[in-house]
Amino acid sequence: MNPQLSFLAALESVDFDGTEDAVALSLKERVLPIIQANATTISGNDGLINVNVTGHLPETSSSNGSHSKDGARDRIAGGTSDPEISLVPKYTIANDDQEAILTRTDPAKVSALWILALTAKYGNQTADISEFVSSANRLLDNISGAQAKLVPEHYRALLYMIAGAADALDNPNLLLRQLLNAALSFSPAHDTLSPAHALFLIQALKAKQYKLALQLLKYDVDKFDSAYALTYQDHLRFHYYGAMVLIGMKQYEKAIEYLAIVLCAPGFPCSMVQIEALKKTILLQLILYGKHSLKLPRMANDFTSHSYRAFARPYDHFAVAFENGDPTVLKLVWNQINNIFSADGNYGLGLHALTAFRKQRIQKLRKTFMTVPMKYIESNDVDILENGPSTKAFVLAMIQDGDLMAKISQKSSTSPVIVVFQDGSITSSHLDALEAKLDSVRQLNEKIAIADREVGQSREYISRKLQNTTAPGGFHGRGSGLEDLEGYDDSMSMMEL
Amino acid sequence: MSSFLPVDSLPKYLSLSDLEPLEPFAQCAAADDANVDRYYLLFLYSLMNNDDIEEARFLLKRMSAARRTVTAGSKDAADISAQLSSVCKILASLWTKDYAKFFSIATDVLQSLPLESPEASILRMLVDHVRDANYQFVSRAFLSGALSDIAVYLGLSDIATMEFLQEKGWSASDEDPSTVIAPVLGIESPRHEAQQKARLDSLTSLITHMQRS
Repeated sequence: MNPQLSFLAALESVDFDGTEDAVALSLKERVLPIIQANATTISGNDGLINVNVTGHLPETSSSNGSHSKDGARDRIAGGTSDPEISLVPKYTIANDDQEAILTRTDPAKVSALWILALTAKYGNQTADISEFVSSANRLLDNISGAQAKLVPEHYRALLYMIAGAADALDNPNLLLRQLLNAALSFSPAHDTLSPAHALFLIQALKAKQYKLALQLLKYDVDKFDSAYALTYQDHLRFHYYGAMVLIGMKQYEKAIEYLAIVLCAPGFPCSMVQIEALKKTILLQLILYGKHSLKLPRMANDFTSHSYRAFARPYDHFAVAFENGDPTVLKLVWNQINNIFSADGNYGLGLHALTAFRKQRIQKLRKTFMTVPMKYIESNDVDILENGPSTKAFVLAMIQDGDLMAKISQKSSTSPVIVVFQDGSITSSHLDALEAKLDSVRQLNEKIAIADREVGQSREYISRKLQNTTAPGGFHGRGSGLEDLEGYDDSMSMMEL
Repeated sequence: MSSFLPVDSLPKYLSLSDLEPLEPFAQCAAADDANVDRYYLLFLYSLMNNDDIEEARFLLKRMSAARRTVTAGSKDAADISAQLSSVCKILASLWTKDYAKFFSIATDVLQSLPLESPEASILRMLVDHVRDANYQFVSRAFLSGALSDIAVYLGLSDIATMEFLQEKGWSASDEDPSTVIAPVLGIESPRHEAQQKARLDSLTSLITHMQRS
């Protein structure tokens, strides 16, 4: 019997009017086995699919999977292991099946088959990019998350092929909205991490599409299943790049939450992503609270803590100078280390920290005075970079931005300008915000309770609990190799557009 | 590359929801397509009108990346480039809160645009919007102040500023006519205060309950 006919015949027995999950189950039981029986197995790293086997974006890869300038970092971070090779697709479907799928089926109905077909047809470097983009566009506009989960390695490979095509065309906007759709379609509640999540954020950052990226970040992602071709790095990257988007949109408090998730992630050794997250966390803490804390969340392990101190030392120096409050010392430290900030892509955040330093000196006057002449503020004001607005303009800008509760009073042109500090009053908008926050906390509590029950009843937890009670030694998380960052250039300078 | 649709064919009163879906097409259009530059002008002004200065900055970066070259020698291209350059300066002035510069550049640009063009219409809206927003700020930031300081925020002459403020209930200082005094704002009614307090009390109880459980 012609295998191709049998796969199409099997397709006819699927009820596409059922639920998404029912259709996916039917495809899994009736159609995929036939296609897989005709497929060619791929061994080792010889895949037809042009995916960097480490799972990193092609532009950042190097032959050993690491991208560090400092050999010491490699040793500390555990060398050059490649944990993601298992994510390369293990088979490619027959040519006849490819053509049948792409010419005779609707991607809206059989997303899983289209994923297999596209990875097989276009997974080599000589493939026609424009034709691939057009086909991928058709698929991603209507993709079914339930079906994508049936072929997770191929789905992951396809997404990286799209990113590769965007890089080849030097157009990070390519299929960006479609990638967002793919990430959101993965689960009905949008709370499950998919291979598309981190990849979409990376492309959105490159394309400066921060507002678009927020459409993904408004959903909390708290479900993670390695059966979906996900890795530890996907989790780290999603939250790290998510934090970068939030920083770009000045949502600093939520950015710190995302970075805390990165810092808390278990693992031995620690990842370079976590070290970069710590650097940003320190600067954000200074901007928001005027002080930093190198005390990691208690879930982070001790080895991670030691690594952080080693790699984040310049940031620690900057933070100490900031907290001491001496502008002369801070200026000296800034001049010594701003090149390090720039190399790390944190120069813009550093500038924001210096502005925050200036603001916080003025805000502190509220603790002592009810009114203060503008001349007094001028005499104590410090603009570290000496290129900012005048003190009066700066104070007015602070009032306008809500950073200072105060009013200006000047009875005549010859009398001094007085700044009158105001008490903050609670308004309806404050109460609305508080109510919304409490509601989200309540929902989170419910999710945590459910997750706690599920984990507590899982076989893995019970067996590890039994092991821990019978033998010494703790839980060692899965190791992760040296992380590779894209060297994102932070152009958040507030002076430039 | 395909041509971008003519801007004059777009609806007269454009909103962000009209403009946002067109960006992918603008990115794919030819670099010297004058309609694309006009589209970006309108999009930037609309974002500024909606106080979305951050997104306007990012749009500028996306635009710069997508349209790196413009065909030289084209009169239309030169005109549009001058307008784009002006909108960049307008955006920079709002970003740095340099309102003197904002009103000055906006006035110059309005004089160079056809009265009924969509660009002129939306720029006039932006000028009014910034003036209104700045008046809201001035009314909560100043108890009293120099007329010249407040005039900068409103983009008006001292005389026009005095007339503007007097219509809103401000008065000139008896000691110095070049200083103005803000009107006294109404006090919240006791009933409203009681409602706020009751709401705060119930939220506090909820927090306490959540901490215990």
